[in-house]
Amino acid sequence: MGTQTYRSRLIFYSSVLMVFLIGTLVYSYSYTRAIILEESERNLTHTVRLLQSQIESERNELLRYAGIVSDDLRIQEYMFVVVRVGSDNEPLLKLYERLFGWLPIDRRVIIGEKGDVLVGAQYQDLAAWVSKHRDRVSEKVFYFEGERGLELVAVAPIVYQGEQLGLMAVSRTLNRAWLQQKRQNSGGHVFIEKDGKITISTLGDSSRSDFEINDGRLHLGDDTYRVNPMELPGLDDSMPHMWYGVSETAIVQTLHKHGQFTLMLVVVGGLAIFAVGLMIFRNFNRPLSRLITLTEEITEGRLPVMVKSEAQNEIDVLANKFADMLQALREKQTEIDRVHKQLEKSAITDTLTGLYNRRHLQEIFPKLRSQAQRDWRCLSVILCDLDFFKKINDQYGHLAGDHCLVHFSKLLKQHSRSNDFLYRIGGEEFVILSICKDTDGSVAIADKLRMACADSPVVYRGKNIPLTVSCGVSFSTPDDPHDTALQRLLSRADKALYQAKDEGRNRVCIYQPSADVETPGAQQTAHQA
Amino acid sequence: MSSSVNHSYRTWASAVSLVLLSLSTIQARAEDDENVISGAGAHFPWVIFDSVKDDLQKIVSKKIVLYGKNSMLGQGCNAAVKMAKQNTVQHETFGFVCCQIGDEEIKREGLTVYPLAQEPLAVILNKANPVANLTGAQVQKIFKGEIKNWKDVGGEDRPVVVITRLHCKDRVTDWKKILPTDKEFAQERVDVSSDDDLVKRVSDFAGAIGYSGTTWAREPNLAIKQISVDGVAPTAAALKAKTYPYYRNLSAVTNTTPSKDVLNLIREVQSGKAFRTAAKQYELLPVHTVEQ
Repeated sequence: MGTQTYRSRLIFYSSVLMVFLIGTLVYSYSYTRAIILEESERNLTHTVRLLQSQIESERNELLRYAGIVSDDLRIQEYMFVVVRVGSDNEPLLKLYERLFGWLPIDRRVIIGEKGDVLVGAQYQDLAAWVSKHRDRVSEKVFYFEGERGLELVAVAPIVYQGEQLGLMAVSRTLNRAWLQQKRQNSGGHVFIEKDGKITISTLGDSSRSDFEINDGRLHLGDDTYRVNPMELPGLDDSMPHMWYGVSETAIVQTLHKHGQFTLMLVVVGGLAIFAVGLMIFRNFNRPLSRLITLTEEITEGRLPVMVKSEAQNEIDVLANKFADMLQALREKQTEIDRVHKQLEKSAITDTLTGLYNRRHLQEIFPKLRSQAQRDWRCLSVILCDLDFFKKINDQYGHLAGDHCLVHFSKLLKQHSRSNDFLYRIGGEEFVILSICKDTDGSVAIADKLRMACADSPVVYRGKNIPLTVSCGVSFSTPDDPHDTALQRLLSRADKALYQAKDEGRNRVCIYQPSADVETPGAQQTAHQA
Repeated sequence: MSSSVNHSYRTWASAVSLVLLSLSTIQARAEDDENVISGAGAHFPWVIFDSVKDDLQKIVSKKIVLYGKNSMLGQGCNAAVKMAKQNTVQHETFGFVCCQIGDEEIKREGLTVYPLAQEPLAVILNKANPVANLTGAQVQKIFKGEIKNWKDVGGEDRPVVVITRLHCKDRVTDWKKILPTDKEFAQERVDVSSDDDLVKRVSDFAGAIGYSGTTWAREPNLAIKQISVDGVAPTAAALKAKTYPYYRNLSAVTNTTPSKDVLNLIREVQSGKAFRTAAKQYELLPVHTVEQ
């Protein structure tokens, strides 16, 4: 539960961080995008105003040029000669070229008071237009669409001695070179449009392209331009119109790059947060989960092995300390087990001979009885008692008696079968408990033991101490439910042992149920060497 | 003690040197001014003085500086009067005029006038104009605007362009020989402010007519020509014979106290050898009178 909470919190915190990161970047992107678009719009408006101002300056400049010519006394005199006297205009043309040929204008015409062209006859369209509109001279600057396209025309009256003799008109053609000059360093493009078609622009191949404005945008091929019209005084609806546009495609590409960069930041930031979360999970949650699992196993009584790792942080140190603690617990448990086994063994073992004691006999007997009944076999009890053991103690001492007991227990181990249980149940009394098919085997064992004891006297401090044993054997058969109690078997074996003692010792007697008081008809059999 | 005296001596010596140097500079400038005779005025007498300037400088042993080549505004006859009035002992000046200064002006301005020569006032046409002779009456009618086309006087069918320079209206001047007052000239005319402009206008317009001194008419790069009036060319001989009607009097002017050098200079122009050569070159008729 704790791990889940910790993990949930980790996921929650990571998610909050991720949301914060994404939110911040999305806000940053949106804000930057709004700023870029707003600045673009502002730049567009500003540039349009700037261009309008430049064109206005150009209007004034043209007016000044026209004024320079019209105010020149020599020009006025020559005009007078031509217009009023009727002389030919060649001197006027030569004078103009000599005096003002340097003026930075594209075309110039001088019109007489009757509309006749005095200078600039080769510019018929412009001359005809100025001649036709000479009554509008008060407007001074006009836009004119002629053979060369749109032109800016400045007109000034030529007056001599108080009389207007004609008009001086100078023009500048608004061609591509002029547009290029205007848009220089502006970053955008200038378009001249008429009747839905581009007539001239600073773009390479845009002439005659459709000029359709949708929501302030002009689409040309793959590019989109955000365009604003230039408001030029004197440019009426029948004239081409001038527009200035900035490539929105470039802005969109910039924004797209910015968006990609933001997305990359989101991905990188997300991965970083995920990596940090994973690292935290790996460095904190996993070791803690492992510790929790181990604690649960310890609670359940197990002491699992925990491999120590190189301590790199506090969690590793804690885990290693935990492993050390686990190892210490394991060692303590082993010690406890060992002591427990020792105690357990002590409780069921005779300390002098190393044979089982009476407690073990009482504990194991029900199991052996069940096994014997399950296997339809017999249980045999051989009760052994050393003969004249009290005399040995009296004659040789208790240490000699103990030596005799140890000696006999060795004989008991040597001559018993592997599945026999060997007990010392009293001072010099021993029991062999076993599961057997019939009585013969147990009787044989008891007799073999009696003979081995009699044939191997105990050597104690260089003296041979003769030792004999008397044995009583009893059986319980699987078909006799009354013979299954330990006490009964021991009692029967004890009766047989008394019989052997009574008959002169150093012999084996078998309990015969016919001889038993409790079981009349039982016979006792004695084996003597 | 000795060092202090030396220092004081050096200071006084430096101051005296500076004063002497300043005085010598002022003196040199004064001497320069005294060695220069400045003259200014109308273009036509300027041509005469300029052509004989080397000889005049040898005679008076002074440098002569002349202003008035183009007869532009600020020079001309008025400039001559102004320059003449500036004459002092230290700075000798004189003027030269192309108009006759009247008695009233002479008295008012304190001038002395020295007639030099008569210069023919040539009627000039554009070289493209085939007309080579006009009668005095035709000239007057043309300048009055009564004749408006050259075909009326035997020329091509081309409008007449009248170019005038009506200068010095308060003096007895050359154009008044053609028509006495400016009001008689054609309304549709071009009135220019200098003879330079006048001859250039005539040179530019094939139908133009104007008048100018014979010195201007000799400018080689202009497409102009002099014509005869009543069959008489504008020459010194014609003036002497009084057969050519238009002329002007070229004079020098000084204040009432001209220096001897200035008088010698003017006298040389009136009757000297160098002037006679120049007069012959420009068809001038010298006037051998020292004072009017």
